[in-house]
Amino acid sequence: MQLKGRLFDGKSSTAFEAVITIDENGIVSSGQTFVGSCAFNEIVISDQIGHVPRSLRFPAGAIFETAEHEKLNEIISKFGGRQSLLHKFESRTSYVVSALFLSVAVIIWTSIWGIPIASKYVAYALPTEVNRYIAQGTMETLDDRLFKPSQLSSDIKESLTKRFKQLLPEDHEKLNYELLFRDGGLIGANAFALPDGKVIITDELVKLADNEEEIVSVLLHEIGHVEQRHSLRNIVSHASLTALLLAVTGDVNAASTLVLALPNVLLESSYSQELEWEADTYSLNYMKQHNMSTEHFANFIQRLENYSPPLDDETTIATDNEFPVDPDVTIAELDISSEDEEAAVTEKEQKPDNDIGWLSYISSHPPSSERAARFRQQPAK
Amino acid sequence: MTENPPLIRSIPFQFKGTASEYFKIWIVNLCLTIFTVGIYSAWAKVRTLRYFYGSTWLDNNNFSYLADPLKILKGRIIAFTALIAYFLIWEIYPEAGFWILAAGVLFFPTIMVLALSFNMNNSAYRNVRFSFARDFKNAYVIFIIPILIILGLTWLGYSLLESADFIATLENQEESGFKKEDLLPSVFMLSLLPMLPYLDYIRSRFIVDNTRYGKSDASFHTGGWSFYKIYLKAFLYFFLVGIFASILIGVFAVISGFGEASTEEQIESASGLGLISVFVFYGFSFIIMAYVRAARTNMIFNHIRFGENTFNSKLKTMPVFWLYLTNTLAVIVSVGLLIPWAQIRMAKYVADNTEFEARTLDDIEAAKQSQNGALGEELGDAFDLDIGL
Repeated sequence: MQLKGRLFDGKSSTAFEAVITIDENGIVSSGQTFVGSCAFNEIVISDQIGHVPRSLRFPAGAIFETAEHEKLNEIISKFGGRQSLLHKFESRTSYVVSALFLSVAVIIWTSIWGIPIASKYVAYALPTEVNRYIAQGTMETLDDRLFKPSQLSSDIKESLTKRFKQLLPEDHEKLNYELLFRDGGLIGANAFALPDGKVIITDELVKLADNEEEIVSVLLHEIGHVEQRHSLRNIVSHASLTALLLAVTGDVNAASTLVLALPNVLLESSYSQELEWEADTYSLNYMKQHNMSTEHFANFIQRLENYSPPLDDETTIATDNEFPVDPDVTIAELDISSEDEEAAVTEKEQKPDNDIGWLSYISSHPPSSERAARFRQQPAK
Repeated sequence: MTENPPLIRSIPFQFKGTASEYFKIWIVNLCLTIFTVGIYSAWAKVRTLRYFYGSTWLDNNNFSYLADPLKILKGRIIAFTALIAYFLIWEIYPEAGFWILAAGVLFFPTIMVLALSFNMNNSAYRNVRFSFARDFKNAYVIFIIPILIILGLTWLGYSLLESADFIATLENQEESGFKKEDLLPSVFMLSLLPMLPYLDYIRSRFIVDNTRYGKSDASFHTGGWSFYKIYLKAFLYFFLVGIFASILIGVFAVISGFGEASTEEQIESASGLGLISVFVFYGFSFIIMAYVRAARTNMIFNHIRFGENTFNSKLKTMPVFWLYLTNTLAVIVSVGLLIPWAQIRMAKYVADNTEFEARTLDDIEAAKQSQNGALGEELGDAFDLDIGL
């Protein structure tokens, strides 16, 4: 059998058009003295990849390049030598289609279910000290950048602090649960939970509430965030998602990095909404167990929905309060500038989703109406 | 710069890869990378580059990529470990962040040189490897000096601002929450931006000047001004587009009575307008990106000499823009499945618009006779690293 190609002496870039011959015993000869003759299985053959010519390296150092892949594969199967397994995968439609379906299935499963589940396991497996570490310094930054000292009367503070302590779970000593009061400044009515157990409510939120029970329902939601390790889960899922998207798109050029932003935003919002839903569940279950009325959370959430923080004033005037400026987006931005976005789980409701439906996909919170409905119907869960 | 010797012949580059062939390689790579939790990515990289190099032809010969995946894997493990360590330390001891950053700065030039040398040594044409002179000393010089200049400018600008009266007035206003430290990032950016073309210039020059193929040294024959011209032009376009877009949006806003918008229709048209301006903005950003890509590539390649030989790079802004736009749309619509098609189109366009201009017979002969870096020679270097830069 014969193969056509180009021969290099292995020392210079001079190429000869050449033909090599393989006889029945698998002995290769080329007619060039510097190649010599040898057995076929002594030749090192590079893996096949697409149409790209393959190189055959002779023991004497000479290199023969050929693009006659079919003939070469035939010779390899006859006289031994490694068949390229990868090329087999790449050239058969059935393998390519399976690879396609497997990849798509794994990517979808991992990004929608795998990452949230894995981050939950990781967050609970890590020692509670980690929660303290990641919360370190966050309160100082928030005080420095966002909050002002609270103006609430000490009566209100004391009464709420007392209620807060009663709400804590039995094994609360693992974390440093603490209720803090602050003036929300530009953020207005809002509540935050830090992973180490600090729960912050703003004066504006306290004033917006009609009664103490409404505030209690919000506190329970925040305790839910802490108890269920939501900050840590956020960090883990964020990191895993970034790694996954990088693996998929690897060497995509700069223009396409833009494309990456979209699935990232959609998935991050879906994770966040899931956690909010879970914190709601925590609040709901607690209230039901203790025979408290769950109406309060629903009432408060809907009042909060129509409330606009001071920061939104400009847009509010221009758009008559209907323009799709999501307060969540504003808060996320603020948090990023304080470089602690992952350490604080923010709590804020969004505008109604009925007339801006698509926005609910990029919001960090589920639609308020859905959340409120759950507390009104009290589904048996 | 001295005149180029007369042209003997122009040899076009050719790219023979096809999207259907590369798609199969890509999807198998992706699948294996996912199932090996990323370990296979080193092999995937080698296979991808072997395909792209092997499909690029010049004068009836193709290029080849010869890297050992294990070495790439080693580099990736080191980089990954360092990254994890960095995040952990940053998360637990935020104060240490600065020192880690400083250590990173100290290592960066070394890593850059090692990676360049790895990539050059593993690129070959006609059985002869490219090589890269490991000029660590100059790598540090070109890296440290600009950093010092930028820091110096930042310090100068900041201390000038610090002494200005209005800063103190602003800071004293209780409500504003303004702190003079807030200005530091902006001052830093203002010092960094004018240096960027220069940084690009010295980096490009460093890479070209240390590259070698066989016995021919590459050399770079232009000054920093060529880079400034391109970046200034891009900046000017960006500025003009910004003004134009704001005027356009302003006019539309007035027409649609946005100022006293209250009815639902007006609000809808306003948000529609917002959406349109976002698309227009992205469109123009793509044009500017395409301009920089085309102009910069042409300028760099047209000032490289390989021995006495030169290149002729003829990329054009609008075709590159068209490629960017259609590639991006295709990737979005296909949920990523057309990424291979997009990559192949780009490679084909670049190859089709690049020529090698042979100007001496001597050099070609010299390369042919070269005993250096022939295939099969073991590099045997434990320090070869490939860390994506």
